[in-house]
Amino acid sequence: MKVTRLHVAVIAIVEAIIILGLTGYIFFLAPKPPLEEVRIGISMPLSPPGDYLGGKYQVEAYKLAAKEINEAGGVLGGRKISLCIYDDEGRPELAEGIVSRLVLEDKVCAIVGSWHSSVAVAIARTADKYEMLYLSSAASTDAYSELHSPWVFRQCMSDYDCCIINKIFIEARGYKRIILMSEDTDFGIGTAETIKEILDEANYPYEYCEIVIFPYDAKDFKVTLLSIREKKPDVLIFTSGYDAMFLIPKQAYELGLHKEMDIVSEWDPPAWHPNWWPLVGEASVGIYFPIYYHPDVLTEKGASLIRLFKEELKVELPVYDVWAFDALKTVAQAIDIAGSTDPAAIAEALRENEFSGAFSKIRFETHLDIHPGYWQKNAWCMVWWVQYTELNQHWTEAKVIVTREQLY
Amino acid sequence: MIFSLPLFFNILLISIIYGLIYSLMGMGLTMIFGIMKLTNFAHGDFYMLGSYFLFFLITMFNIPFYFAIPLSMATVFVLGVGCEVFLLRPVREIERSLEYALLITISLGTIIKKLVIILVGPYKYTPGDFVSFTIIGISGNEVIACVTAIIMIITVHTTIKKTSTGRFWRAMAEDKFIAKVVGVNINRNSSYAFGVSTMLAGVAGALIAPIFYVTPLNGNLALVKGYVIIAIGGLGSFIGSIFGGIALGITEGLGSAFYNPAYKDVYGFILMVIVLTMKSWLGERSEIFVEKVKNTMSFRWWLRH
Repeated sequence: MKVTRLHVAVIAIVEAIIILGLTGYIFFLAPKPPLEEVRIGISMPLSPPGDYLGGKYQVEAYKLAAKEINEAGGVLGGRKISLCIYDDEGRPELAEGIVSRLVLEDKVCAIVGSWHSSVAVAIARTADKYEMLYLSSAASTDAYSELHSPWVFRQCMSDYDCCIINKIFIEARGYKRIILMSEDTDFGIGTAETIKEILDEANYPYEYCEIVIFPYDAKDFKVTLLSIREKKPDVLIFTSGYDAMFLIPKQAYELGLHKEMDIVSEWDPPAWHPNWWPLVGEASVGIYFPIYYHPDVLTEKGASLIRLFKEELKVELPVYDVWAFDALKTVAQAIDIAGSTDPAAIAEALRENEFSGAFSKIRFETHLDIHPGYWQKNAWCMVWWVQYTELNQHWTEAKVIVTREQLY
Repeated sequence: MIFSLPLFFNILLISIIYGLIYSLMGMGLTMIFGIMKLTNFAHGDFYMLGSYFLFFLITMFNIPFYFAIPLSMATVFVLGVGCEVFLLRPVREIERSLEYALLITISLGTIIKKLVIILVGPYKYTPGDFVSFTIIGISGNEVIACVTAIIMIITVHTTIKKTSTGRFWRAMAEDKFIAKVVGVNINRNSSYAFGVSTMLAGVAGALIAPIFYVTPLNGNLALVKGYVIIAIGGLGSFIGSIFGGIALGITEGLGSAFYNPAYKDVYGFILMVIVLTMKSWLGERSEIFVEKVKNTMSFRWWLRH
């Protein structure tokens, strides 16, 4: 058959109608595809050798925050937050692989989390390499900020903050013979050395301030405690994130050390750890420890978060989970302010703005004149020093030894 | 460091108590090595299981500790026998059986750990104090652990020396083929030996439960200590593992108290290196002396006398 001009014209008209019809359908009639989710990466220890229990609770805090954000309409006009969670096992050597996967495969716009300081340091270095925003909710080591990377932020208190708090407590109690007993991790050694440095800088008139380091997985401390007793210290301050935090006060009690010196936990697990009273028992009576929030001075938001944790997870809310919860909500607010999922724009928004957290306002500040670790760090800090005076006492009823006003 | 004689003896006493408990781990490992020529990397996990069984027997069934300890021992024994029958026996007659058995124990350890985490969670537990008294810094739990460890050492020794099963084990330790030829039931006696060995780990775990708590990972450190002990005491040496345990406890204790607790684990390894070097050095210098020491320390000698 001979193709005439009429044939060509008919075919062209039919094609034009089909194209216009399809275009119209796509633009006006077809169901709209859901908006792409905004992905945020999380690295947490969820199996040994890391502290998987602490990791588990923090992941729950992140999930609660994501749920709350998504129920309130998500970010960037309706995009849902999706969490990409990886198990870092508390091993720094896994951090690089996790960050690579989050950046290259999952295409996240920010990374939050990590529980162990050593892992956070490794993530920070890799995130800096990839120019990826990283907001740690729990890394306390000062080494975390030593890169002074524009991509790295800190939600929680640093070791330096904790050491200042310990120094003020030592001053308030007037201790002269001080033993700092710490595990052999960057957290333990870093804390003990910094407390001593701060005391030295302040010319604190101690008779001696001795650091005793032990392996982080050690379990029998009695011989070490016996040799400490011979030095007749006023105070024994212990730092550990592992079994030692329960075993040191317990074994010190069995040796009768609690009658001869003050036993002090450098950080706050006596307040929130679900196993504290079952494991330490009567050895816990008399122990001193700091707390980082107090129910008497809570915001409405903070109180509702505590209730939420008790209802959903049946646990006391540790401050680290508040920081985790706030970290995700802060990143979500920064994404909205930046109006984009570009990590550079989010980082800029974090630096330039103030955010609302569960317990207080959040603002990332840099004060290198105070300390090299004070880099893009949340300035919020609330502390009290308390002492358990009765068996199975709730931490909110513990005797306040140093008030917040005395500390600041 | 301030040195005083009472402090020294107090530290020595505590170190010996822990050393005796460690030596139960070493004894179990050396039994398997001596009789079955097998290195058991799941030994620490049987230790962990012993502590869990004790915890559940005491807290869930309100069984007093003096019944709970033998019951958890018996449970770990049955598990050990089961593992030998279903996992190790099938590979015994194949080529490179020891290598396969070694891989099986590594996998078994990982599976036990993960299973415990899945079933009961990653939490720490305590069965509560066995008794609540303290004498010169030594708790009632430690006293009970020490006394039970001594009873276990004597019982196992008597079993090896006086019973027919012990005679079969001795024969298997000498030469498994000859033992089989003269009518020893290798399968049955291997199962018993493996069961008793895991039972020793289980009782160590049960005894230590109120002292160091119950966690899915508490077998790791115990396993390392067990291997240091048998390296110090001599591979396959039963009595060596008892002395090795005590020597390790004392070395770690004195090193931690009078030098630096940061190197606690290193002291054991230093002792191990010294002992191994001495053995090698004496081997070159005086074969007779080494033979004497070897005879005194060896599992076979222990079994014979």
